[in-house]
Amino acid sequence: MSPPSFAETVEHFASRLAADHTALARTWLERLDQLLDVEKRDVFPTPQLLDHIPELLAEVAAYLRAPEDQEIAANTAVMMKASELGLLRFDQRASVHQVLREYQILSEILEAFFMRETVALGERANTMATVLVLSRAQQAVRVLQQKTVDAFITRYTETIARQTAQLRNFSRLVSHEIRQPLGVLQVLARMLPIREPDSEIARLGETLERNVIRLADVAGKLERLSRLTRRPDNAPSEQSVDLSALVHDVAHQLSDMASSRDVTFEIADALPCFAADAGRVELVVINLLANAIKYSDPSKPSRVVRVEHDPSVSHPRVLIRDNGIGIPRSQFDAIFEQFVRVHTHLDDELGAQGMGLGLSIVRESMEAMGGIVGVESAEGHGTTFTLEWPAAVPREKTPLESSS
Amino acid sequence: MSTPLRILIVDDYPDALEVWALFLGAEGFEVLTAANGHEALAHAVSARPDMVVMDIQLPGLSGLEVARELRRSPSTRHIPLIAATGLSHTTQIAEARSAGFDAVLVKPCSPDVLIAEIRRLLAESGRKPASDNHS
Repeated sequence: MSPPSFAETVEHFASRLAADHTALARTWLERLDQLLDVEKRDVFPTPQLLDHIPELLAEVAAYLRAPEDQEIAANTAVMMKASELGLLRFDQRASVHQVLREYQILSEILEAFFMRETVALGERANTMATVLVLSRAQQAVRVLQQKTVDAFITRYTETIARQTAQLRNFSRLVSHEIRQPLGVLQVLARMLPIREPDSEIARLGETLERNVIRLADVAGKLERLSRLTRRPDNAPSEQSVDLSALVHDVAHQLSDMASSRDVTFEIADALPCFAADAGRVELVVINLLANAIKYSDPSKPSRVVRVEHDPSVSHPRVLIRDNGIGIPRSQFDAIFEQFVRVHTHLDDELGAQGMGLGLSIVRESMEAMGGIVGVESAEGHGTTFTLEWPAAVPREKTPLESSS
Repeated sequence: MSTPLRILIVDDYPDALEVWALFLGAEGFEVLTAANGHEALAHAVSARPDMVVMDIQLPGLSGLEVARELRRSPSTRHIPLIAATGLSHTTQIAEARSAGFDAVLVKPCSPDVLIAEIRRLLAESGRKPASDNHS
């Protein structure tokens, strides 16, 4: 009996996956249904999306048959589906954590499927082919997962920008639309005692005026509150940011992504507290930590991302260091431009599909806060991003802060 | 017997014009009103008010532009100007002052505060304040 051929075994797995893709998609949905405390139709609520999942699996099957040097990222149809999934999960208010978990479950289901098929094939399986098919399927899922998460984070960024604009409009509404009629009421209330001195009407006028003044005070507080997120004169709006809490929070959000690549975070105890736009600081930190994970170096015994504070200067200065694959010196400026990505040739290997938007968002956010971002890197050793915010300017407490 | 001092109120919100006219009338002033910047300039030139109280956010010609125009013209540059604005940011207040306003009040401003400002500026400009007819 001739040994089983490599090509036959690959074809066997590919055709089995293609034949079973609907059933496997159903299994995935059922597992998600058990895991997530929502109705199945709420996870993927449209027939279109219920089609998405089987199609993703059919494309993975087609990918197994493709030449070894072909990347799944080259399949634009499947990459678009993965993106759409990210947008949809964001709109459903899922977390990054949940999305990562969903793909992890898909990965487990595929692994179990290939185990069963390998056992069924028995001696007819070519071992090399089995190993290859398994690793390509896992790789495909990682690439799709990254694409979905990227779309998710992009939508998140857009949402923050839109909410900021809405708050700005709200502030205008309060300052103009509410203050105008309140001003009129205040004068009318004052008119009553003038017109009817020493009367019941005069006393009621005083009560009316007292309450109008209270409302005007509330309108003033609301306006100051909404101004926290608006940027008059292009100055960043300020609120108190506790960087320690914020970095721990972001690290937690990314913990699945980090553990899937065996990356650990080391966050210094004493990170600064300072006044800045908290939404922007979060965007900066989430992008830099996600990048550090994406471009971690699989060949190193341990992969570490450190967040440190530089106390030698009086303004907030924070370093995010990784021991990842590094960035060539010639690319230090280019990485901050939109859609520039240095390691496209490594994307498949690292499962690091990205849009090339992350670092441009980081720089734009830092500049909007009056800060700067710098980079130092050595290829093969790692990268350090430096974030610096301007020194605190003493400011008056707003009545809202002092009364709380 | 002195003629009452004349105040020009400028606001694009008709109710505000009406109640301020009532209130300042009751305080003994003669009140003129204008609902936009162009009307305000015309009244300021023709009626020579002793004081102008003006909203900054006006349709067409803004309160800042009206103030600059009044400060440029020899016949109106001496008139005390009070700004009433819904915007309370310090840069906006500084902008109003540099446009020529003598005082900036943030809306909604209390009638007491407005009257106090009017009396203070009239006293500074050497005009006789209106009599306090109800105390």
